[in-house]
Amino acid sequence: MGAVAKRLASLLFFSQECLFFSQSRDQTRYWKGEIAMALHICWLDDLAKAKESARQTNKPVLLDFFNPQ
Amino acid sequence: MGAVTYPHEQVVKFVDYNFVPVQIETSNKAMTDQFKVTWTPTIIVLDADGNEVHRVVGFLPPEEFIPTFMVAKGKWYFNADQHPEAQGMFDEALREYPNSAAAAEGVFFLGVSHYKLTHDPKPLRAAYETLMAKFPGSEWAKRAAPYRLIPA
Repeated sequence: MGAVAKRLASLLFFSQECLFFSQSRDQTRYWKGEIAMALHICWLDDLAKAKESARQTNKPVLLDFFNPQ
Repeated sequence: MGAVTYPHEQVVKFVDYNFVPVQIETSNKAMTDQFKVTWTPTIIVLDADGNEVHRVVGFLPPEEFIPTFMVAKGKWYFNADQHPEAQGMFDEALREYPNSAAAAEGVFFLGVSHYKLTHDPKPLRAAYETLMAKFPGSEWAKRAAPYRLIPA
């Protein structure tokens, strides 16, 4: 699959990727490898959920404060 | 960060593999007060209990973001007394990004982690010597200065 096609596939599957990402990171990596490269970090917006995910996955939380303006 | 660093492919992969990323707008005053955030970007690494492990204020380009948060993840392992894993992260940061701004901190904590695992002080002396050789002007060289008194 060419680079342009990969990028297009990424855009088409943008929302599904984040949903799938939240369900299974391992599967997501497989899925991304087969169809498209990730274009973005799938940020959570709830620290409590992030801490729970961190506990389950044995990873630290990366908490980014940003100003959207 | 949102325009340059976070869209970078290597950064996306690195964050995906190593962290649970969460993004909070500065309009969330309860959160900015809780974490005493007064400037953006502010990026904080937390453990699952919410304890702060590492904090960065200000922009980081991709080639600094990755080693900075490799060292931060190493400190997360370090705080949990997972020293082989911590040393792996510090080693990776030093191997892949030897000239990054985070490298000096990685050298420091690599030496401390070896000491905590073995109780042999020689790695502390080695860390001091490495810091003086490669990063003599860094704050970490100053912090390691007492280790010069350890017999080689």
